[in-house]
Amino acid sequence: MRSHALAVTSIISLLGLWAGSLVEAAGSRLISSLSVIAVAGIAYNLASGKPALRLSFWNAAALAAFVFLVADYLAISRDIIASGTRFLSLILVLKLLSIRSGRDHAIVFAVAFFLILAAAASTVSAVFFAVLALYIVFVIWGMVVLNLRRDLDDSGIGTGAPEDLFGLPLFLSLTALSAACIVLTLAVFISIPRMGVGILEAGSRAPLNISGFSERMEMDSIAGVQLDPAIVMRVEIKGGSPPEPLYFRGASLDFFDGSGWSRRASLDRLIKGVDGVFTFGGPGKRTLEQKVWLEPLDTEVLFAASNAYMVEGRLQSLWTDGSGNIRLPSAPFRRLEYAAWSDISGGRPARAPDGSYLDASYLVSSPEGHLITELARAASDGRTSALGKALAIEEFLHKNYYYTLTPRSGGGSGPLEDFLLHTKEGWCEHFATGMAMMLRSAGVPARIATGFLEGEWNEYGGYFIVRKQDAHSWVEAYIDGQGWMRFDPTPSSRRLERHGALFMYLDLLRHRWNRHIVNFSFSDQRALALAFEEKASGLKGLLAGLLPDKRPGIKGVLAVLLVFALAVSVAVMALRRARKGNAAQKAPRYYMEMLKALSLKGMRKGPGETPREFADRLGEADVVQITELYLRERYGGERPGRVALVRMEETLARIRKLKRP
Amino acid sequence: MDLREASARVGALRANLEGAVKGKPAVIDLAITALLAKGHLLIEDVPGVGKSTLAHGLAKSLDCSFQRIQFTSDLLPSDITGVTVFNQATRAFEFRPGPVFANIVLADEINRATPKTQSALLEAMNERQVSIDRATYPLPSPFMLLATQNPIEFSGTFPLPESQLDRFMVCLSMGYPDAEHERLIIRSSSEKGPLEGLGPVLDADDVEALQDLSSRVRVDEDLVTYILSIVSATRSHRSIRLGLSPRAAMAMYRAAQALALASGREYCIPDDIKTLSGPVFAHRIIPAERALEGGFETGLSLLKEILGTVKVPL
Repeated sequence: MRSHALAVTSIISLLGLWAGSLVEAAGSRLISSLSVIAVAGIAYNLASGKPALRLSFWNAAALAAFVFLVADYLAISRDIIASGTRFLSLILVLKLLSIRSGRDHAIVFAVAFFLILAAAASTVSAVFFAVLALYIVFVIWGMVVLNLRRDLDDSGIGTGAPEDLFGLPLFLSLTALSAACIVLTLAVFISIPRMGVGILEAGSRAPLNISGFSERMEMDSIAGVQLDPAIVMRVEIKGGSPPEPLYFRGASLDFFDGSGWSRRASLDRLIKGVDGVFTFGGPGKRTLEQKVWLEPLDTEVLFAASNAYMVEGRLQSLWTDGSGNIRLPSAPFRRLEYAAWSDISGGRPARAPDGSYLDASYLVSSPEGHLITELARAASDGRTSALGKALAIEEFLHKNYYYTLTPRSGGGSGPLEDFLLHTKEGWCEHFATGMAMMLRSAGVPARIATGFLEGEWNEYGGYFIVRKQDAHSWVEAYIDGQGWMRFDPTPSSRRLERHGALFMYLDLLRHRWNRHIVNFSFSDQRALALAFEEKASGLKGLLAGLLPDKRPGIKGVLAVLLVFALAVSVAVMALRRARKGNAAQKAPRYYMEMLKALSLKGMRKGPGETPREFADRLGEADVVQITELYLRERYGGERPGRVALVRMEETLARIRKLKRP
Repeated sequence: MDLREASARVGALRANLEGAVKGKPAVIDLAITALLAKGHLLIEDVPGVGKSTLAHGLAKSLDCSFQRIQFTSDLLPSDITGVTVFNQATRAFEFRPGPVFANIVLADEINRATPKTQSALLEAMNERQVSIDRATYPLPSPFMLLATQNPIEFSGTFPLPESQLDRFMVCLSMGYPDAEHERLIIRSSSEKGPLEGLGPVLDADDVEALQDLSSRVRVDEDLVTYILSIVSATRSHRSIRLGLSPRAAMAMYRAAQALALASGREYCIPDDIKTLSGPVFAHRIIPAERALEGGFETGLSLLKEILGTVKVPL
């Protein structure tokens, strides 16, 4: 049975370490090496039957670990979650290697629990749910085994305990119990919404580092992210994937200075939502409804398929301007969930833009600017209409230029000149910049738009997975009669890299986890309650005659639940009190206190052990003395005198200072 | 008689007995317990460890009548209880009391007699009277039967029936003395017998007074519950064919009182019951595997297991 308890505890500690490894800043290499040590220690313990570490070593090591925690927090990480996770992992492994009594097992359970707590605060990984569920199952199992063991030890038949006690039936019934616990937890989960703010949450998770979407974009800013598969957002599309490719537009930039783009005028309009709904314009020819889960980013730009005219979400306010840019007041520190409605017909009706969109002054000042103007003229191939020019230039870039993430250096006076006149290779940034400047030199108002391509479609969940590597920039040109139209001069470079079905399922799981667990909100709760109410309305019709109030509503239900919970807790407390009072009246207080003090030190009186046998077993004169006084009062009805009572306090104090055997 | 005086008397008796039976304080305490609780004592052990010495010592320490009956297979009930004979002079039947009419009766090797003879003791043990020919004769008070038997030798013996075993309050085993005491016993045996110079320290009145005091020793309600829990545990134990009778519980109650008094207390504690559960209960338990010889030992180990699980009151 000892090995049984040890095995369960080992599993729990490994679960704890696993949870610890989910804490991102804690250093997964440290924790995985700790896990290896733990496994080796368990194997040693199981094989040799004794703990791998001596008690004195555990004491010293625990102290050292604490000093390390303080140093770690103050000097190295300055992050209580990361340093705390490291500390707890260390303590967990040390304790696991020096397990002796049942109390040590309990300590392992507790430390593992704290690790899970730390992981809960700092991870949004779906793996966490598996760890938590396993932890619940095993901890219940472990506690039952420990309690059984203690009871068997107490009853004096511990060594001859039947091994078959710990067979399949026990495991099955415990698993059923755990499942019930998890169901109960789910009930609690559904009834209590996430708050999204907590001591542990703030600052615990760095947002995805992504640049180029706000005030300024350097010419080489996107290439860095083109290889990063980190997921930026997931977009659920109502009605399935549309036939044409989607462009999730972030921001547009209108001023080019030779090395990058920036915005001439900042956003000027603050929009307050009405019930969380923000409207920027009217619906167009083709409306697309999308739901976006945006990972924490370090930009305040809000992404939506171009062109968005309405956004709904739990947002306070939004900034916008006339060119379709939408920004949050500040970069979000948590995952953002919002719905957006876009007109995806490709054009955006607008009034004729001001002269800034025709600003080609850079080409005038650039030494090779006139060559680019010449090139634009050649590329537009004699077309006179704005649309014709734009299509021709787009076609020209598609045909004669090559896509690469590592362009050669061309010896020109700037990246734009290098790309257009010399190397003729680059990435979307170069293509978009080139086309925008050529359009301007040809007299067509143009600007750069940045955002993401649609990414990968997850058919199982009906949503797009958009990654950092899907970042893109393209051109918007003003076409008379059409408004702003989107042109993408970049030749298709996208390796059609399809992930397998397993990945899609896993991502769906993660998405659902985020959707239903992490972001579970009051509105979800309300929706759930409404659905339930709808389902239950048939039943309610039946009951309507009996109930005085026909629609009690959610508040009524909550009130009833609250009263019920209160009544149950009062009843439980009263019962416990009654039982306690019963037990207390017999044995004198000092004896119970002595028993408690001794049991804290691991000296526990067995239920079949008489007080005198217990005292003789311990062989402590103080214990014998109190036991005799107790026996005299309890069975002889002689209360100890005042002096004896005073001395008893001293005796009790001495007993409390006794060392563990 | 108050507690102080009782303690002094018991102390004197104990000292006297320790002079006769060396190195066996626990056995002496049990014998005194049986005496104070008005119980009968069965001593079960191999020959030569001092069974008779203990019985004789107890008899000699008390200033009252003593009879010894050596049980043999041809012993008749009337050899114990006595006979009615026709007196020619008075021309009437008159009763000649047998050896059972004494304060202390030693039934040596009780399992050598036939069951019929053994059962002649049943009424005497329980009702403290003897009925012969429609007349009932009360036994003197105090009355205590000390019986010995040899558990090793089985040929030509008749094991005591359960009904009779149940009537012995205490069944004890002497056990060998330890080396130091055995040396002392051998040394002193050549000078004088162990019982020589042993004088009475209590008279019949003292014994009755002590017995009366013992019956008034305080027993907490929880201790009664404790006794009952043990008893009921033996009844439901799967390795026990016959559990303990109410008589056993009663005997335990009285024995615990007596042991408390013998230990100088006016109240019982859980230890009294636990200490006595072997001597009082073990011989009454019939384990399921009756074929197993040494039923006493099995009973003891079963009891030990039960005592480990029954909760001691706090």
